[in-house]
Parts: sequence; structure tokens; C-alpha cells
Amino acid sequence: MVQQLSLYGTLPDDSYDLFISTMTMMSGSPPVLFANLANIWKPNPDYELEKMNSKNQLVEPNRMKLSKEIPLESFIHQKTESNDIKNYKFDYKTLRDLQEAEQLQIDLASLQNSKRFIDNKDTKQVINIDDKKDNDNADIVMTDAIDSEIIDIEKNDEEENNDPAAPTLNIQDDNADVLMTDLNPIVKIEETNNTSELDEKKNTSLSMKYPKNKSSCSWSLSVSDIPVAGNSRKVSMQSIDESVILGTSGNNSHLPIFLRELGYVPDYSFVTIGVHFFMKYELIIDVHKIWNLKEDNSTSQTTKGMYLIKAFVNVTRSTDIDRINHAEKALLALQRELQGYVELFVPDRKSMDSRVHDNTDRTQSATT
Amino acid sequence: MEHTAVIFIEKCTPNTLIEFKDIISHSIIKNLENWSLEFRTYRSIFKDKKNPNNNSLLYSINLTQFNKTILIKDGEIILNTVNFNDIPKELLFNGCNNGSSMSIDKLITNKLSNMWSNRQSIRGENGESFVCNNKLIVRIINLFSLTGFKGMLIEIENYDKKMETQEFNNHVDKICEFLNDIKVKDYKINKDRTDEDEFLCDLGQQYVSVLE
Repeated sequence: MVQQLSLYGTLPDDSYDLFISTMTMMSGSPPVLFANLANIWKPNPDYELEKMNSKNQLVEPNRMKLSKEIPLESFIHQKTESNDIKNYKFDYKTLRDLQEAEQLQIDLASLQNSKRFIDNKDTKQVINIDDKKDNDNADIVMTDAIDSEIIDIEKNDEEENNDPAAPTLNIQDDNADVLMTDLNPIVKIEETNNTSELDEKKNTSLSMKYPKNKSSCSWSLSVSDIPVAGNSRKVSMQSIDESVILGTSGNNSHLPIFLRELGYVPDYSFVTIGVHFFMKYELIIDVHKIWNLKEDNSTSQTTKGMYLIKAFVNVTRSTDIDRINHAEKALLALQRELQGYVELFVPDRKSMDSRVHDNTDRTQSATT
Repeated sequence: MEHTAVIFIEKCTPNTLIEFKDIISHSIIKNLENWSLEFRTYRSIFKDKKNPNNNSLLYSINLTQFNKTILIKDGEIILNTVNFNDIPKELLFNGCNNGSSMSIDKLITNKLSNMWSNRQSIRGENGESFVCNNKLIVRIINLFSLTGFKGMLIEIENYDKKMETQEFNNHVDKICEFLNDIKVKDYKINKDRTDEDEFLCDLGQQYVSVLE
């Protein structure tokens, strides 16, 4: 369980570059790109739920959030400007390139459905992505040059496939771990300057072949409470219970089936792409955009024209008053520092509420 | 590949554990860390309007030796970790997780107690574990419920990961013979493996089959 203290703000699209450079100066470290996919589940409306538990305590039905990372390599299909995929570096510009995008060219369906601890059918996945691409040609803003490049990379992969000596092709469990660590997106960002072109090429071809990695069947499950009440609060404080699910097994071995058994049904899904800044005093600033994900895996941007800014500090123990006060001070200091440039404010408590309400059809609730 | 087996002896006394330890003591190479076990059964307390007879059970098994919790419902299994080091870095770096992971049965007791109520919990604390000279890890523990002593549990795992299934089964049969020697005739045993990738999920199933 963590206590999350946060402040929110918005940023117009055209101020993005300036804000990024300002924050890079302030934090002293470059932005870190991130992307995640979140599925929100709600209690099955067909079930009659008591609001009391067996000890007569009030327990209100709460939504659950299941989230997982989207490997940055998936974005390669999204590239529009540069034709040079192999040398493409993922940084904050990736997000800027997506600024106007409605439809994300990411194979979200396969991310949603990853079942196993280690999936050896990954080679098929590349083909799937391409099939999809062919079908969706109308939506795709991709030059022929990029297409041919991708095909080239795949050809290389196929050639490697035939070569038993190629080190990248041992899809045995022992090696899988080693391979997977190569794909760690953050490490890749930090090391792009050091890795030779050859390594990078290898990374790219690998990631094309393994769009999923070992962790892609683990999900983080979280249930968040409504933020603490009180008019005098200067920052929003919310407790979040989290649990990491490493994998599934059994007859169907599928997390959605398990959640249905638990009495939950899918509510809505969204994709968050953004950058983190890690500041002093464990303060983290997220600048992100949110895409609503529909059932047919098409997306629409809900944050058009704006970026959402979230400044937050996590405190691991709710009883640690000193740390909470300290975190609050850090957030307020940031708010003061950015005053007149970006206004950070306390979010509406009701919009952060993830409980399921009867007789209301609020589909969009807390995104945190 | 890991092999595991779980044996549960209900008709015995707390002293049976000592008798069993005596009989295998000559083969013990070294002692490992102590371990604890918690086995909880939950019953659904929601009413299914469409299917009113749907009343089912959920099991959670908390094993300290692996720092994992296994949740089982109708043959569907999920594996959960409470160890920070086991949280995939990709989840942490991509803002999916804030760096904490509580045991999923705690989450169910805290947040879903209007849907699932804890019916029974069987726990064992400070169980002993040994490495034996036949390349097995043997873990023994006495289990208690709220009402008192429930029985003794033996968990067997292969220490040598290259051990063949047949060899492992022979060793397990040997342990069953030991049990016969101390006049324990009535026990439940399960050593089924169905999931080759993740032995912990199978271990969870084995616990459910002997303890339910």
C-alpha cells in the first residue's frame, strides 16, 4: 500500500518542448519515456452485492485497475518523420510525434492477450502485426520506405532463423532471461549513446521478433481509495493498494477469465504515453497523454491539444507522518516554483473516486 | 525441471512430526531456513441474479519460502509476489506500479470483503526444511486452524533440477514408506504436474487437493 500525494496541471501542445527543457534543467536529468496500458474492471452488475461484509463493515464496490507496460519497440510502426528505423532513438520527441495521433499503431490486442510466462510463439506475432498493418492501410501514415525497411529486417530475422548458430535464436528458457534483459526499455534509453550501431540493429531486430518479453504476462493490479477529504488540503492524498501478478496457469490460464471468476467485468481501458522526470525528494513529474481504448482495439485521444501533468510523491507507509509532511512540502515548493508558468492544482476529489455508483453511468472515473 | 509433492496427514498428533524427523534424520545434509504457510478458503457472498446456485470457493496459499501467494479458483491459477525484487522492472519504469506489492489475499480481505469472505484459514509457522542426501528438499510443518491442530504437512521438492520424474517418484515412494514405518497409514498425497513452466502454480494445486 502506498500513499500517493499529487497535484495536477495541464500543458498546451505547443508548450511541450519548452516545458521539457525547463524540467530537464530543473531536475538535472533527461526525461524518461514510458507507456502503459490500463484495463479498468468493475464488479459484475449481474451480481447482487452487499455493502457490508461479514463483520458488518461498510465496503463499497470498487473498481480495479490492471496495468502493464507497452514495450517502446511497439512504437516503431508509429514513426512518421524519420525513415531510419534502425537508428531511431526513443526520447521525449516520440511523444511529441504522437501529439496529434488518434489511432495508435500498436498491437494492443496481443498485449492484452498474452497468456503465458514465456511465449515461444513470438515469431508469429511479427506476422500478425504486419497483417494488421495491411488491413488498416487507410489509417497508416507510413512511407513505403519504412515498410520496406521493416520487411528487410524481417528477412534478416528469417535468415537468422535458418542459422542454428545464431545466438539470438535460442528460444530456450535459460537464454530467454538474458535476451529479455536486452529489451528493457529504460536501459536501452540510457545506453543508446554507448551501444554501437551493430548492437542497436540487433536490438531492433530482436524487438521486432520479441514484441513481448517475459514480464509482459505480469500485470500490476491496483485498487485506489477516494482521496482523503478536507477542504484545507493543499495536495491530493490517496491510498493505493497494489499487487503484482506474475503470471497465470490452469485450465485456461488467462487473467481476464480469473477476474471474471472473481466477480469482475471489464469497464474501460486506456493507454497512457508520457515522460517521467525524477526530481529531488522522490518527487516524480509525469507529462502524459491518454488514449481511450475501445473494444475493437481502436483508440481515440482524450487529451487533445493538451498534455496532462501529474506531480506526485509516493509514501510507502500511511503512518509515516514525517514523510507525508515532507512530501507535501516538496509538492508545494514545486507548485510555487512553476507558478505563473504551469498552474498545478488539487484535483477534484470526486473525479478521483474509483468506486462504482448505483444509478449513475459515469464511465470515466479515476485514472490513477 | 522442478518436481514437487505435497503430503498431508490428518490423523496424527503434533508429535508425529518429531517421529518423522527422527526417521529421516540420518539422511539430512543441511538445514535450510524455516518456513511458514497459510492456506485460506474464501466463499463468495454475492448473489448471482442469473445463476443463483453459483456458490464457489477461492483458495489462497501463502508460502514464505518462495515469497509468493498463489490464488486458485475453479482450476484457474494466478501467481502473485510480495517481494519487491520480483516486481518486473518494466512495470515500475512505466508507471504501472508504485513500487509496492501486497499479498493478493490481503487485497481480497481488505478490498473485496463484500464479495469474498474468509471461511477458514489453516496456518503453520516455523516449519523446518532440510536438504537430504537423495537430492530432495523436504519441508515439514504442523498445521493449525482456529479450532486447534489440523495435521502434519510434508512438502517435497527436488534440489537437483535435473532429476527425472521417475527418480523423483521413487524418492517420494520412499518417504511414504517412512511414514508407514511410523504407523501413519492414512495420508493424502499429490504430485501432479500440468504446467511445465511454472511449478509454483502446480504446487498450489497440490496444496488445494490435499487440504481442501
